[in-house]
Amino acid sequence: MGTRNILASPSTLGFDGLAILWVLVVHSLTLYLDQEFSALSFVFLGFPLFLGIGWYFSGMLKGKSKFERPILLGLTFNLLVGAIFSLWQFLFLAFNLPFPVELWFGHFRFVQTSFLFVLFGVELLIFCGYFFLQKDFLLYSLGSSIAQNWKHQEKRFFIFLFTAVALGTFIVVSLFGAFSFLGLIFPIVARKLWFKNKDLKGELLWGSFLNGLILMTVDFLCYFFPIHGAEIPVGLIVSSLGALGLGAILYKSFHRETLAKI
Amino acid sequence: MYNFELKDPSFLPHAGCEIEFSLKSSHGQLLVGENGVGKTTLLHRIWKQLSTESSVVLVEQRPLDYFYDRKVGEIKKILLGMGQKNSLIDVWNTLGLHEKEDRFFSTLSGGENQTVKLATSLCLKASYYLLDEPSQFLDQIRKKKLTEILNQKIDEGSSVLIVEHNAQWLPQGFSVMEMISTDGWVKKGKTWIT
Repeated sequence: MGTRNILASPSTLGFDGLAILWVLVVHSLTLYLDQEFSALSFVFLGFPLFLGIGWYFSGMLKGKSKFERPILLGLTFNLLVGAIFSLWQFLFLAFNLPFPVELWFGHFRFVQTSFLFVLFGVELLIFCGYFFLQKDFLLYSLGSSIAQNWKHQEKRFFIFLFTAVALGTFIVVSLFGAFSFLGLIFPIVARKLWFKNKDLKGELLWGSFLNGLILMTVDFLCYFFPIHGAEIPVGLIVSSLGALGLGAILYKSFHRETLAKI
Repeated sequence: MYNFELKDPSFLPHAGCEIEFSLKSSHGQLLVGENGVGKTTLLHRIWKQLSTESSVVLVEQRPLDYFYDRKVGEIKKILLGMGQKNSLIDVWNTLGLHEKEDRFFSTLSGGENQTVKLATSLCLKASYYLLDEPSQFLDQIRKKKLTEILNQKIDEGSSVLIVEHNAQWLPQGFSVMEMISTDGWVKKGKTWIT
């Protein structure tokens, strides 16, 4: 978000992949140690680790204005995690173990009431941060060259953005499973469909509400209209739409560049 | 007075230089030099050094490109909410932007874009103003207005440093510093330095 690059999102930058990897590690430990970890306990255990690793990698981007490489790095990391995830599923099949389907692309029927409290808590924290930094959001939406002269607290602002995105992604993936490309399609929907270009308030505040509403609607349909008794994973639909969305954006930008050359 | 001193061989590798000059309060300086001599790099270096200890306003060369689908008036409205109300309106009106508030940013010409950039920066109070080619795309009337605003800043006790290709536009009361690079040599004023 801070980069204002349309392709930069929690998915493409590898946040999703990192969260999924942590979920796989905890579930593997659960099996190996034969000890049950509750979803909430591994959220609290994993978050400092997740934040630390994320912070270390984001330090590599400091001062970089071109974000193509970090995006490629993030996508490559996602592919690696995807391969590990597939291998993990294969091992479950090979050893004839019951696969934890709640991890597979977000089945909301496994949701517990305690998860909702955690979600509301995180939302509240993010909104408090947003209202506290409202001035910085407005200034940053005018661009970095104006913001730097108007005493925009860039470091504080980026720390908040990083923490909010990392926390949000980590909690969603830990509690609801692997939503690959979730963070890809929704920011684009928020940026492209309803709001003015570069409108951070629209993207963050109203965009979040609208995106949440869409996700809940899709989930509602999946839950109440199962196919032969099986619920279609919401994450699977979102992943397909995300991949198509990424393709459409790339095609559109390519098309625009070609037209500009003519 | 701020004494800027640079002893960094990796800075301006084609020139390899040591530079030392003063930024005095109530004084304006124009730094001129050919393309690629390192004026903009130097300006950013000064800004980086100064901004840790003083209030500095930097007007960069690149055009504003962040709000194509917004009206000029919307930018003013946001900035009015941030404070500096009177000085913003003063500079805004002096540069004639009040007549363009209903225009979309995407429809502005290069000179108008430059004017918005100058207005949003020069309305701020600071000890130092660093401007990278502020006169580019500006017509004679706006150059005159810009000179008035800069002289006002100098009268208020600020120090103004402008970077330009040449001294064709020399605001009244400004002294000129020349920066020339020839095979690893840099000339500052009348002195050649390595």
